[in-house]
Amino acid sequence: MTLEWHAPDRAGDGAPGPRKIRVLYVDYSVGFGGATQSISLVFRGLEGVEKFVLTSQEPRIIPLWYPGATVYRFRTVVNYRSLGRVKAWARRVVRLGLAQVIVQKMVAALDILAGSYELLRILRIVRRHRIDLIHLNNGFTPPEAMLAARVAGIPCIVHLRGFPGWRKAAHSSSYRRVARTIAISNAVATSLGFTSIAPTRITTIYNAVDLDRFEEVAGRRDSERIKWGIGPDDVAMGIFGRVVAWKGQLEFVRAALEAMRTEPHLKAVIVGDESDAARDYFDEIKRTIADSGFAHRFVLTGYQPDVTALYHAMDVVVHASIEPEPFGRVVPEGMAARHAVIASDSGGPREVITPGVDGLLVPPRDVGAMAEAMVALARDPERRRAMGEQGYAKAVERFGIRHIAQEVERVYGEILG
Amino acid sequence: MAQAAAPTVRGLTSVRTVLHLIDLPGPGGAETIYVAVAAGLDRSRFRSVAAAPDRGWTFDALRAAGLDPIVTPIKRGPLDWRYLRQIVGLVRRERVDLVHAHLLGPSVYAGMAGLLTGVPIVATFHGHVDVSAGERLLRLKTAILNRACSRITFVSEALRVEFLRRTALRAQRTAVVVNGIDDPADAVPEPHLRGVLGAQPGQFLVGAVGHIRPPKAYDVFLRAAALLLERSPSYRFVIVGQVERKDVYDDLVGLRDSLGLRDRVLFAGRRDDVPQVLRAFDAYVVSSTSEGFSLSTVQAMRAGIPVVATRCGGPETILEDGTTGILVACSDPHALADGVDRLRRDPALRARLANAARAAADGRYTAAAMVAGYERVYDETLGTAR
Repeated sequence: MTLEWHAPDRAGDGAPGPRKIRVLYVDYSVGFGGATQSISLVFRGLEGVEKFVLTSQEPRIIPLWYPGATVYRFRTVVNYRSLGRVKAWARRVVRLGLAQVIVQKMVAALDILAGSYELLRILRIVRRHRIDLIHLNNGFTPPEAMLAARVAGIPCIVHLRGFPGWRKAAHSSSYRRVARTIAISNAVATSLGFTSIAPTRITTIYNAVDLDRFEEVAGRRDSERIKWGIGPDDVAMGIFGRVVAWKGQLEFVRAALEAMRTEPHLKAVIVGDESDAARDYFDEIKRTIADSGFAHRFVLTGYQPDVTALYHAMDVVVHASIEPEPFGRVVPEGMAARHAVIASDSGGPREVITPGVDGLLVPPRDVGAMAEAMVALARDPERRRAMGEQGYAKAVERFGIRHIAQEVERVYGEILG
Repeated sequence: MAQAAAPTVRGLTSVRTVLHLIDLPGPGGAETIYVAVAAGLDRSRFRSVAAAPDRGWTFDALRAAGLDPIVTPIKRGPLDWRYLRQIVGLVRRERVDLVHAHLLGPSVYAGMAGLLTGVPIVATFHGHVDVSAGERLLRLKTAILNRACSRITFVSEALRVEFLRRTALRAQRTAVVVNGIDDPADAVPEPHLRGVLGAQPGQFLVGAVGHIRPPKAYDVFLRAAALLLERSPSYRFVIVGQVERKDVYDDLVGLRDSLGLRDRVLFAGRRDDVPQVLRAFDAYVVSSTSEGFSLSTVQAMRAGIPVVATRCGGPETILEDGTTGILVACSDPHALADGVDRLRRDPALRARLANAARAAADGRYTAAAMVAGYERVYDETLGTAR
């Protein structure tokens, strides 16, 4: 069986030490996703773990995101894509209902075959490397990984990174196979209340922030501000993330416009790329800005491959999501850049911010309240500075890579006894 | 076991003070949960200040758990200023970090106190009957809850869905924390109890536990009993629970007698040894038309007694039909009778259901799991995750 990438983590002097736990991470994610990015940071902080990965990511991503791990790739992900194409073709060409049903049945059968094939692969990996536990990095998928853990008699951990979208599967038998669920916030943990997973088997572990990277780039604040036309007396408030309706960039713009009436030195920065699906939304934002008379106070940066320096260029970081966000990495990232943070009072951000100490919380969708928060911080540089310092201290204490990795290792220890 | 005094320096310790409120004197399901939460919080992280509406079961149970309960009388009807002032005074004097209010009345008052003092509020609803259709000023009360509560929790998903359907509560702040209960250490079956409850050896004793009031639908239970006795003379039935509505009780006794069941169905009244009583049953029945949860179902599961329950909100959350119990439609005596008779005729089924149910109860519906669920809601609100 061919390996994709072999970069095992070995101590230089070969000194004997306590046996490392051997964990197989099953990362069923595609594309630049938060799940892969988060576990990648954890990898850098793990000390007592020998890391094995089974991933659906592209080969070129593997060496970047899974440092020090032995990596295998799923074989059947490609099949899903071509199967999708086959299904679309079949729908166009074969109009008869019965033929469509036959195609669907064939696809379902292939699905089962693919799942069985991957199950056997996982079992071989588990046997070959004497894996101690399986860590599903992206929720309760894929089912063959949970089944493999059961068959092999080893525990399985599920890393839940979002709210469960299903309300029906409360008693699902697959939950019983999971030794521990890691939730990325207490909000996510609480959202499992309706399931058969007991709260005592859920552990909240937040996502880590790369504090070293933020420190490295801190010196570029001034040059970034010049680059984007932010003057030394401007108070720059930035919102980071893909421009889609639920992220609340429109509410941010409206609040900023309201605040700008009394705070002419406010500069509102939207960092993030539009997506094809949200083109109308982006157009509405641009129209609102253009019609406002304050267009010169807005900066739209578009897609930026590395936003760390832009974080430093801000004075306040704003989170405006109108739906509860499972974690909201923007908030601790803003803290890592030593900024006060204004955030929606829901989901992850609500737990991360101590209102009045390191940030302000506003009701979601409440443009007036957000404007009020912006005005309050725009007028008070000392308060911004104090909140930024408090936020940075919290980021160091609770969101550092080593701290988060230790929490993960503690869960491993509890499970393996 | 005295509680620590109110911290005079805030921020010196990381112990947060939680004020618990309820307006029922007890005993009952909600009161049982209330006491379990107030008394069960991790003392190294939370200090409980618990209130009771007067000196009764709730007060005594809090006392027995080592807490020093505060009496907070609450009047029905229009605004009870005295109660509101008392809560606000407690929040200030005890340096309360979070108020956890149970049931509609205390939740709304806590919400008002929260709007006045800025203290975060968690509200918990236990049953459908909390919000009756004619509830005064329901829209105003809902608005207060939406505005002031960090989290509004429900003891089952069905209850949460029901509230969202019937009120203007906003879904975003709602959550589910299911109930959990532990058996007392001395819950062993006592052989003579079966005789006391009206069953001889060899007879099949079917029991129900709960206050005598309309949502329990004991009339359906009685009609099912009549149907079952046609199938086998070995059935005996018992209803354990205090009389909360005398008119309802009289009607039930009348129905029992008119069905000719006088010697087969016993109204045992209130008993304080429910875990032992359950162990005397051969089958446990929930005939209700409305339950927010059903603690007695969990107790029966833990006692190893197979359960037949109606899909009335709570039981379908707890039981998996055919695996840990039998679920039937509400208000259908035939369905209920069929379910019970399957158990009587099939001892292997009884054993299989009972074992799976016990495992489920011990894994999911423990007091520790429930308290952990509420502590997590507190952490979410206070930002106190470690």
